[in-house]
Amino acid sequence: MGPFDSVGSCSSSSSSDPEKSTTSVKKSEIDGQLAGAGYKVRLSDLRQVAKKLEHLENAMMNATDDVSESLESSDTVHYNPTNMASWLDSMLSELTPLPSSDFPQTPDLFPDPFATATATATATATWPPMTQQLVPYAVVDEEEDSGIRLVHLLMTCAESVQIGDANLAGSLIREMQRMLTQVNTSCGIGKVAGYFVDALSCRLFSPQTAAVSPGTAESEILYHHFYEACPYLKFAHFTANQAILEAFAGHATVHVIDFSLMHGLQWPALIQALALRPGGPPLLRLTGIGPPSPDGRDALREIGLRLAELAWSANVPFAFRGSPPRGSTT
Amino acid sequence: MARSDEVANPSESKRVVPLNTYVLISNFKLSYKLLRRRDGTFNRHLAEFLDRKVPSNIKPVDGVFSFDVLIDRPTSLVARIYKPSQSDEAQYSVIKHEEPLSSTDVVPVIIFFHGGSFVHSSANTGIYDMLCRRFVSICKAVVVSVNYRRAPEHQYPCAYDDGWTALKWVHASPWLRSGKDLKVHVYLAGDSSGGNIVHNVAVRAMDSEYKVVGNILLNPMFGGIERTESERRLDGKYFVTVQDRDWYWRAFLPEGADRDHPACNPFGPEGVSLKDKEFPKSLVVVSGFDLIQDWQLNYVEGLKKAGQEVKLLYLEQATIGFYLLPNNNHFYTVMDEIRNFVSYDL
Repeated sequence: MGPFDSVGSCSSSSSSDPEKSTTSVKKSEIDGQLAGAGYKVRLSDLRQVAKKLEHLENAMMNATDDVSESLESSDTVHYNPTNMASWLDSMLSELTPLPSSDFPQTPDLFPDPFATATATATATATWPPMTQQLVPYAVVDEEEDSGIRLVHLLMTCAESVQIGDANLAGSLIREMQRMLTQVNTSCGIGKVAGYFVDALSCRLFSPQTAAVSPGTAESEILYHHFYEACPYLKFAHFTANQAILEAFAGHATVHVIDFSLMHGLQWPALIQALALRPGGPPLLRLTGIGPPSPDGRDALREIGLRLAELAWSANVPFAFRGSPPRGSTT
Repeated sequence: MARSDEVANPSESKRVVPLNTYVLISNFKLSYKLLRRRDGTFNRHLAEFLDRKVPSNIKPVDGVFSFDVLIDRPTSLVARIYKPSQSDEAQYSVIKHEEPLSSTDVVPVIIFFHGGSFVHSSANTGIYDMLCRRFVSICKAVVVSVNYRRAPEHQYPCAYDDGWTALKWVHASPWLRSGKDLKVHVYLAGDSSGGNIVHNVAVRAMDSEYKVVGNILLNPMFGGIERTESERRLDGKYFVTVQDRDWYWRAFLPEGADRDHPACNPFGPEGVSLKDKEFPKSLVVVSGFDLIQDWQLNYVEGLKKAGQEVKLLYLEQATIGFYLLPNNNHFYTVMDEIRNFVSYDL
């Protein structure tokens, strides 16, 4: 929340323990204390980095202009400050007149100012302290890792369901169900993943003709919830309605034929938009085509009535006709 | 034209601190210099890019978890709260966070103001996140790290206003109460500019209902028009120059003010007397290689003369920022002192 939203974090781990014999300290290990502060510097590079700092200081002192101003030209590329050595190299090459011999490879251009550090770390000193033994280390947030893995697995599983590879999908679902036991499924990524895993397993393992399918009323409620929660359908309707409004400009009587009325969720927005049209609304005729209801209700008529009520309250002259598709018996 | 008034003596500071500390603080020194413009403005975008920040973590790491709260909407004042936890589980529950910290033991609440000379760093800066976590572990306290508004965009008294807002908010939070009397036991702590904020918020709290039990000032940032002996002797030798100190005061103090403004020089010619006032006890830590130590010692004297309780911890061989990495004796000495300062005899 607020300005501290994190963009990403990775971890590093090492120990910087002078009590260990030098042979056991790997050369590639990074300084754990600096890692906690957000900087990656290899233990073996510390001296070299210190020298680079001294060179940079001299370069800054010898710079003819105000160094801060010379850096603000649009040409300046800023490297990831966490990698102190390469950042210092880039600053040195900016400020020294002669080109530096080792240009770093991949520029890391100015990211979001609120991007957070690339190390999630904490330090522990043994307590009571022994001065030589200082073992801070970085901790991976396992929960976050599991969440990310779940998302990857979900994507892969969805693809395999799509191409019909039931075996792969099945084993992926079992793996995901196992992982769900290790994350918090009452909120966050665990909750979302949990629902998706359930849905995928229903899709995969339920027979085509389900013994119990949701009733029409239930279906309708589910569809409404889905429409509200998810932006894609609403947006599609919004764009379509915009096109329709443009086509209807200047006309006093207009007719829309909806070949797949479903629940008619596209039309309240159009009715309201027409009501607010400069010059007043046209007479709107809507023909809705849809399948006959399995339970004998005249769903089309009900939808038409609801839309008519809305149109009446918006002062839009409205006429509805429900039409079952060709070939049906009604 | 090269700056003749700057003295670069990397070898001196390199001799007195561990190598990784030298690297860390030199890096700050140089990158901060890149950000300060001669005309007094500041490259805030680059500053935020360079600042190494960490997210809060509701899952306890080494017994400490953290979360961010919005304290004051109009000023977007955010604080990061650090709490101790025995469990390994992520501390999601809102209900749990509304209960008092303890109804038997006293749990100190430390309101922390990070350093940065009023201009740099934030509550979510990595080095300060680490420091606050240590305070929790060592002092068995709850820490509220305030993300106060910084100069030059927000000058005096914004940082103090934010501190005051945070103090009131802490006092008004039932879930920060502890002890048999269910009260909030508040300490103010800060390093560098944070130490200065501690003093000024404590002054504002003096005649109010918002009690502060104690002040902890680590290398607090004070100054004055006069050039003191320590400033002349140590200028440029240990990471800090008089010139940069001047720049930061110009950035923070209001237009037309000079360094004898009471915010900068509380016991100077424009200072306010604290005699016979109810003021918190103070722990002031001064580093022997800090060029502004004369001002800090002057502060301690000023408190003593006003009859206020103050303990001075003078660390001869310490530079600024010694408390940022746990790789020196001073670090442990100071942590011990702070723990004693906030602990209660039951």
